[in-house]
Amino acid sequence: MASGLYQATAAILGDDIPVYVFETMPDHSPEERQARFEAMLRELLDAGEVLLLVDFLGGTPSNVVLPEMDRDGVEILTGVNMPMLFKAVTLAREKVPVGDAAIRLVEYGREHIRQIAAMLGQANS
Amino acid sequence: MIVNLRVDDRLIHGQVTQGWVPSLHINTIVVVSDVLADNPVRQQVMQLGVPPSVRVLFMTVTQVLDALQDLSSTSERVMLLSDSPGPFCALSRALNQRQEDSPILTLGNLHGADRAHKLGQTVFCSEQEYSQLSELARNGVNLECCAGVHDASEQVQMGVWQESTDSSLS
Repeated sequence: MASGLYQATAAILGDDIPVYVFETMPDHSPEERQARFEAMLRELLDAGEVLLLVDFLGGTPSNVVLPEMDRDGVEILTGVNMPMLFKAVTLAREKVPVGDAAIRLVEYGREHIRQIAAMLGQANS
Repeated sequence: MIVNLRVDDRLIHGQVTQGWVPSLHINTIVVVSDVLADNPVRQQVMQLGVPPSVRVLFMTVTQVLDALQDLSSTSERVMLLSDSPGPFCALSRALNQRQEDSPILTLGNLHGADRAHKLGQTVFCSEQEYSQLSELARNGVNLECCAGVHDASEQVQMGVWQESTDSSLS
């Protein structure tokens, strides 16, 4: 899912978005997976704060990132959706601190889950 | 009752919580791990994604053996979950001694550079693990490979150890 979200976002916002993809490879052991992630995270943290967006709590991606939650400059959000990712790119470009960005993105992500019929006043009761 | 034994190097993850737990009506997961039983931080992280209706316990192999009577006779539907086959060897010996049938052992996910022998689409094992699985089979445990609940399960027959070959050997 991560590369799909990246490609869809890059198609709209351009290739120079500060978004990186980590996907869990099916043939890696947990140790190999964790080591690969930690290496990537260290490199990104050298350049600034990092917001980790995962699909859902309890999946393998969240199991990989959760051990990092107490690290300075790292925030983790679950339930990533496209509006959240678009907004995250904007906040990153504005250099909003990652803690503040995380709080705003939870609200923003939720707000953008809408029932179109209800928006148009046509929803069934 | 112990409904299922599962070996999965990812332990508690989406396939388990969203697939196997509802499918088998599991309401108690026992993670069998001497290492994790002593790590409250990792336990807390692992429980975050588990539905509230499911209880998660972390027990050493010895604790599971001591609690075997209770785990077998409870009305709760229990999955014993380990990240490798070894912890289940002692369990299978104990079940044998009690002349109890063993639940099916599902090999879900096992990967890694040191796991050279392929048993199934998502299951590879080391030589030591092959010996452990052979012991489990000798103790009457039915072994199957099945990662996701909607995947076709493959029965596993333990034969002679060979690297990078199919598992079904006489």
